[in-house]
Amino acid sequence: MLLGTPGSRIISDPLLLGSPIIAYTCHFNLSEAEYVLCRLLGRTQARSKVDNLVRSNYINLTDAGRLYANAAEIKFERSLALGECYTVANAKVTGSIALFAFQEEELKSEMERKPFDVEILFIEGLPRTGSPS
Amino acid sequence: MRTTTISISEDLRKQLLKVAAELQAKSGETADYDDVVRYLLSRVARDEQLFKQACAPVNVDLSRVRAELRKGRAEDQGREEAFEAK
Repeated sequence: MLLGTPGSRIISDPLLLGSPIIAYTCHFNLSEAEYVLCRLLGRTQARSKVDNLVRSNYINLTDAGRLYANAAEIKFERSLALGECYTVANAKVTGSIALFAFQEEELKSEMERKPFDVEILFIEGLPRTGSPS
Repeated sequence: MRTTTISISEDLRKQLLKVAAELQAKSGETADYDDVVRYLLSRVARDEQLFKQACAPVNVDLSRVRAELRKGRAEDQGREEAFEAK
C-alpha cells in the first residue's frame, strides 16, 4: 500500500471511499515496511510515508493484548519469517483477514502443510478492479 | 479477544444497532457492537491527505521490493541460526 501499487488500491480505494473495511497493522510490520522502503527510497521518504500512514488514522495499530504471544506461538510452530507471523497473529487477534503483498513460497508451503486458522489472501492474486467483499 | 461490559443508554444502543445493520448490509457479514465501535473509532480524526500521501505511487520496481524484503528476512534468519548454533 505504501508503494501505491495498482494491486494495493483494492484496499486503499475503498478505505478512502468510506467502505466499512477496517484495516489493521502492528509496529513490527510497520518497522519491516519502513526499513525496506528505506533501502529503496532513502530514509526521508520512507519515514514520511510510514508516519503519514500512521497519522492518517486509516489503519488501526494493534499491539496490545496477546499479539506478541500469538506471533511467538506461530513462529515456534511454523517455518515463517517473524513479520509473517505477526501478520497472521494480528488477523487472529482482530478477527480479520491476513493480507500479504507477495505469495512467498515458505508461506504457501506452510498453508499446504497445515492450514492456518485465519483466512489468508495475497494482493498479487486479487483482481485489480472492484472492491473486496 | 478479552471482552468487558460497558453501560450505554438505550437510545445510543439503538443507534449502534442501526450502524451495525448498515455495516452488515455493506459487507454481507454479521456485525456486533465490537465491530460497530471499532468502525466508528476508526473514522475519528482521519486525515485523507496524509493517507493519500502515504499511498502515493513511487517509482520502484516491485521485484526490487520483494528482493529487499527477502534479503532482510534472510539476514534475520542467518542471525537466528548463528545464535542457535552457539
